[in-house]
Amino acid sequence: MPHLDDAYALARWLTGNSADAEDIVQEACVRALRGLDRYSGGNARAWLLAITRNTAFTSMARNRPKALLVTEDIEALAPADDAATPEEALIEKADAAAIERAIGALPPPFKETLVLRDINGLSYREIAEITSVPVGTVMSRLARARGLLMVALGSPQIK
Amino acid sequence: MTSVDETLLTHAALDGELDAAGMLDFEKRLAGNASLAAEYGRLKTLREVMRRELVKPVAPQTLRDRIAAMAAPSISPQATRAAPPWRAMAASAILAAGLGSAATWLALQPAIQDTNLTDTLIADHKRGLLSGQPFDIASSDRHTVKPWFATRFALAPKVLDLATQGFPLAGGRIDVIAGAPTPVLIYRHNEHFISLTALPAQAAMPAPAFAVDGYAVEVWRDGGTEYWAISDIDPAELSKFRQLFEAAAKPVPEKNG
Repeated sequence: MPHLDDAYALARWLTGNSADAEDIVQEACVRALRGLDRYSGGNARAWLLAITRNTAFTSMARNRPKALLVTEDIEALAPADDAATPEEALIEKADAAAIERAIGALPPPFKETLVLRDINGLSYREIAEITSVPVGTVMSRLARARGLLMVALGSPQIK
Repeated sequence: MTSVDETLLTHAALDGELDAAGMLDFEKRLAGNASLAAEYGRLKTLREVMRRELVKPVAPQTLRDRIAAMAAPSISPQATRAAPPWRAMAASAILAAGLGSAATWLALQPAIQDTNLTDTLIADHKRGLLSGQPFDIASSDRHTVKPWFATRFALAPKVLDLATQGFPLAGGRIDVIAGAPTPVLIYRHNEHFISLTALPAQAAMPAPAFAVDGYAVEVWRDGGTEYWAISDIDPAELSKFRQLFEAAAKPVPEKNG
């Protein structure tokens, strides 16, 4: 059931816990079945993921609005121009817990873009469609997300 | 220094989102820009580490059962009254679309009755060369090509790098063969291209090696998959390619990923 696993993986990463993820995937499938007449064919996986993503954000807005709190101009933020360049050797040594923490700490728009690309393996165009933003925005969000991850994992002071 | 555009390009190159021309241009920049190359190296490491450490969450069986139960009753008489049956069936079909395992994928593939399979494959190979763009994804990095296929097929083909043996990976493309999208790997040998098509194995095994119109063809099987290698290189060279590919496929190929 690759589509279901994809939906579950996305929900799991967005919410950060499996109980919420299960509820969201179930809710998303209900919506998918109900909204079938609006399904125009094409990419069924991207379609289910788009519904899952919207369901997740609706549910989080209702239950945990703090998790979605985003500083206004997140896209406009200049790339973090840290003095220290992340060290490849440190990134290499990162373990699962550290990576999960780092991804969990990403602002939601960066996190979902990264998860859709690196966990779900979608193309830029599919991500643009699912998140309703231009491909250019997908690219810059992805670059920011990975940049933040590299700083989190590759900076000597954070251990 | 690395500009913002170059940063975006770096990510696109890593994700296999650049076309052949873009990739070529990027590789040139990479060669001439140490800080860009360092960034690219770090990104590759990050990707490798994420692949190594992160396990993609799998939906629990209880959830699977609940969803299956939700999709199934829609075909029952009560539901049929509420929604036209075609809709219920389409619903189940879409949810079930993902149900298949790799094995079912093979079993469900319609047998290719096309007796002109050879002609079709050679035509696809020629078309690739004529258009000057033999691949949909240009990358010599199998860690880019393999996931690209994995997102498009339930069963991704084995992607092996034979660069050290003189057959570097050039990219991949999708051909439509007998109505079904089919993965094709492109390898380079000197100035020539080799199209390697992975098909579900058919009942009858064709001749293992032959030549048509100056194109050499090699066919072999690996489990349920049938590989067709087509190229205009010397048949002996193509036979060598096949041996190398088969040899490389033997040991656990995904070990260093």
